[in-house]
Amino acid sequence: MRGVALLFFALASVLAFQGTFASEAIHDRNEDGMELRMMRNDIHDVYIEKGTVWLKLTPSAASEFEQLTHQRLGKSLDVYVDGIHATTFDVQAVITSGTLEIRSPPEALLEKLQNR
Amino acid sequence: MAVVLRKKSILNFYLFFIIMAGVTHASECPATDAALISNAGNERFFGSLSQSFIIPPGYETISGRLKFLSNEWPRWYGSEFNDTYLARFSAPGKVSILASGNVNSSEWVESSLGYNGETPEINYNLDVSGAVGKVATLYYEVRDVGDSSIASALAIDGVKVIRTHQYVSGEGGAFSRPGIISGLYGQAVKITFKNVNVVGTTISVKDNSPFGETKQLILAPQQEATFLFTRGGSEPMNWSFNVSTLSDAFLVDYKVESTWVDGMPNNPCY
Repeated sequence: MRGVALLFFALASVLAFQGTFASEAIHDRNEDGMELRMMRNDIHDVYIEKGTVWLKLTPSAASEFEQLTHQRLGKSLDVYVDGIHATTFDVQAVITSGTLEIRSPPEALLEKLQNR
Repeated sequence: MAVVLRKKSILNFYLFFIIMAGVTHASECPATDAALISNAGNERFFGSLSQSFIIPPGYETISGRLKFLSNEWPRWYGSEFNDTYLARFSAPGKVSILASGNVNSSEWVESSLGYNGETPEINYNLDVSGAVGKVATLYYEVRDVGDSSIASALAIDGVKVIRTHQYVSGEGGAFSRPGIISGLYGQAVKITFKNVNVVGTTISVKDNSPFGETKQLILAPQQEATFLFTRGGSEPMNWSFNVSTLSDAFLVDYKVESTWVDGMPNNPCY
């Protein structure tokens, strides 16, 4: 009986803990995110090979991408192409090349890029 | 091209444990997990939690926070029922006590976490640069002292392995004729060449990926130069570079640094 009471008490403790202390646990994953929404006319060239897509951005889009990666250094970035979620990654460097690699892209994106 | 700032929903990454004694292993991702360790119901009068993981390159700080919770307070505060807690980091060649204390040595306020009292939040931050690549263990325990009928607990949260270096060293070597540097690296790859010959040389580095750039210059004797290549996307990614020269006498050392090298968590890591 005493053991059951202790277990109940411990469970109650966890529930209380989850509702307060744990909810304050902030990780980079939980902070404000950023979405980069590209349209087809932002893309200068596309290369598709073995389930990977490489995008070469136009000079103006590449410049925007460089500025954005500068601002988002160390933070997460979601990339959408023509409204389709293409990839998510943490920005670890300022991307000056205007090149983006998308591994295992969704079929819908592949279709759009192949028919552009 | 549009940039949209948005609020991410809070993802339920929290893992909860009531662990009287046990071991768990860190995921590859530097994650924030929360745990509550209680000594309640344990026949040996203590509860513990340990987590072992490898310290990745470029991640040389560990941080976290905890609270000591107890039902000994306020009734048994100042008595022999002086329950204790301990948080310890250990790795080959390094042992650090992150936090330790007991009921009588702690400041207390009423708790809303299911116990009578809680201490102020205790934050720890530890330089683990000497332990990179080694298996490290975080160990937490809470012990009953005097008797086992009144419980204490340790609430653990915000445990992070923090990235401290943007670039981490990768491979290195030397070329006396054209060659290839290739491997899994990150969004940015810096290749630094040093001309170790007594005469100048041209050097050209071509990124072999689609839309890869070619960069070239002339290196005077003993001169160093760094080429930077970048590509957006998840890490690691395949890189391959052709290194070539127009010079007859070519002798260069090189070293690679990148935002991702072997042993680091994948990006994104969740």
